[in-house]
Amino acid sequence: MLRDITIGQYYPVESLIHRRDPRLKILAVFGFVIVLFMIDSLTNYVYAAGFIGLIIAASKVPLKYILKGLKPIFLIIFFTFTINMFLTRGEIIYKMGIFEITREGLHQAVFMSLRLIFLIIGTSILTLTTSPIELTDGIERLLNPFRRIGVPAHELAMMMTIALRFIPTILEETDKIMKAQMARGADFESGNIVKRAKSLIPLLVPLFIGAFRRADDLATAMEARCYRGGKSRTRMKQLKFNKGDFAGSILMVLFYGYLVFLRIA
Amino acid sequence: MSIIVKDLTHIYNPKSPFETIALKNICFEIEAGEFTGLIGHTGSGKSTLIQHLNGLLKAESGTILINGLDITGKEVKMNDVRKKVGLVFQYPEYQLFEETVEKDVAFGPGNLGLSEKEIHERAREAIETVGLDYEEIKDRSPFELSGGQRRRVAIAGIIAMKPEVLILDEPTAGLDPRGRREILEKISLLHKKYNTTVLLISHSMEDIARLCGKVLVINKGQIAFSGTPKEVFSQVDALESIGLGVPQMTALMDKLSRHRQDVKKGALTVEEAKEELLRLARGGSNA
Repeated sequence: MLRDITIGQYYPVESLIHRRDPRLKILAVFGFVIVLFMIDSLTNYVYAAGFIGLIIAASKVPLKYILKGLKPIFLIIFFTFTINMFLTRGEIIYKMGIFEITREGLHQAVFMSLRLIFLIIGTSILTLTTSPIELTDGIERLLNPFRRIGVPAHELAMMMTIALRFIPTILEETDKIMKAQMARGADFESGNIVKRAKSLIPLLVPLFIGAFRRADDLATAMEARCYRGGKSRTRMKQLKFNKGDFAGSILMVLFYGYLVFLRIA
Repeated sequence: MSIIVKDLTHIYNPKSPFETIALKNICFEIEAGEFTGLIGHTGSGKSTLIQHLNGLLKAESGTILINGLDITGKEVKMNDVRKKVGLVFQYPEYQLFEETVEKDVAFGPGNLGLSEKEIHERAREAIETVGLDYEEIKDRSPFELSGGQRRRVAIAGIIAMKPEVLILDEPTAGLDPRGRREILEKISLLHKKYNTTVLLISHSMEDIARLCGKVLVINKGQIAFSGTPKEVFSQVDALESIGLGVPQMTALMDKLSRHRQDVKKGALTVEEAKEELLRLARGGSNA
């Protein structure tokens, strides 16, 4: 169950997409999300799907692996779809009792679900092809210009690195505590909602205690090594925009521009 | 309860770039009432192996017979297995969650569907078995105890389920010498008193030599050696080559034997080494 969660996970292979500058990838995903919510015709979604398809192919991450990441949010997509379908007012095309499906509702349901799916796929490609360190480096650099208006770029980036870094650790810890409690006869899988919620106490209490302990240890360890963020910190790996990144940016701008143009025209 | 493991193979994250073969064709037998040691260096697959023994992990292939019952079969109820095979994880004190020590220890027996009285009785017995003062400690929060006490409370939580097989994954890791000695004493006592089958993982070769009737050595997911402590620890060089060692006294006698032909190797404890040294001092006659 826990192994299905691929959010924030890095898929370590060597590929054209993996090699790109993280700043480009972050901006590309950012742009992609905006474009996703602008386009509203099926043909344009086909273009977007093609675009994503090409990137997945170039990233060498198996499609199955990416789709597995959709599993946990399947329920959300399902709810979005149903709620949109039944609760949007408009021209009724099907009626059964108090349930009515409208043309606008169906339209809205399909598009919202597509947007959600593309959104998750797009963002997971970013984390799958960019290691956490690269990702936060990229974010920090992108936020740098905003430092002047008081955005704590470095601190935000550091918090993100730590959060991403600890996702697998916390998952592992959850797995371990779950097993330890199962060895004591705990049952996490059966019973009604109240019983199941109760059965989580033996899992959550140690997990929270562990998380606070870890946070404390990490802070001490950082202080012990004289950690100070900000100005005087130098990096071993400098981010560099190379030819491939320029080519990628041009392709990206052209493609997004085209989709936006189709929408406006 | 006997444990028979045949051709057990386990692969983590199969069919992904993170794929690792953790166990490969593991075969061994543990007879009922035996005290067995499991040694192997970090990452050799010890912890993976023991999780199979009470069904927390599913094997890729192979069979595990607990008292003749194949627990890799589909129709086996895992809770029945876990009732009989108690597993104490590494650093078990991190699994404590209840408000009081007694409630925490009672969690396991409570899950077995016993009567209130029986649960209470078992919790008391278990707390006393691990050498804590029941009356003094039962209403305290487990989080205000010392590390060694918490470890013992956690072990009591498993003992209270009265398992017929007790598996312990480095129960003494990170404890002071006194804590180590006390915990091992209690385990040994439990083994003698209830004839519990025990499987102990430890990095202390001395403890293994002193307590166990049988030793399994695991290396890179495979059983490298098995046998009595004397047999296993006679392989000084082979054990060292896989990142393990032998008890200090065995190493000492082994070194001595390289200088003098008539030194008998194989002493495991200080006592045995002393006798051998005395024999040599007397002229090495009564061999």
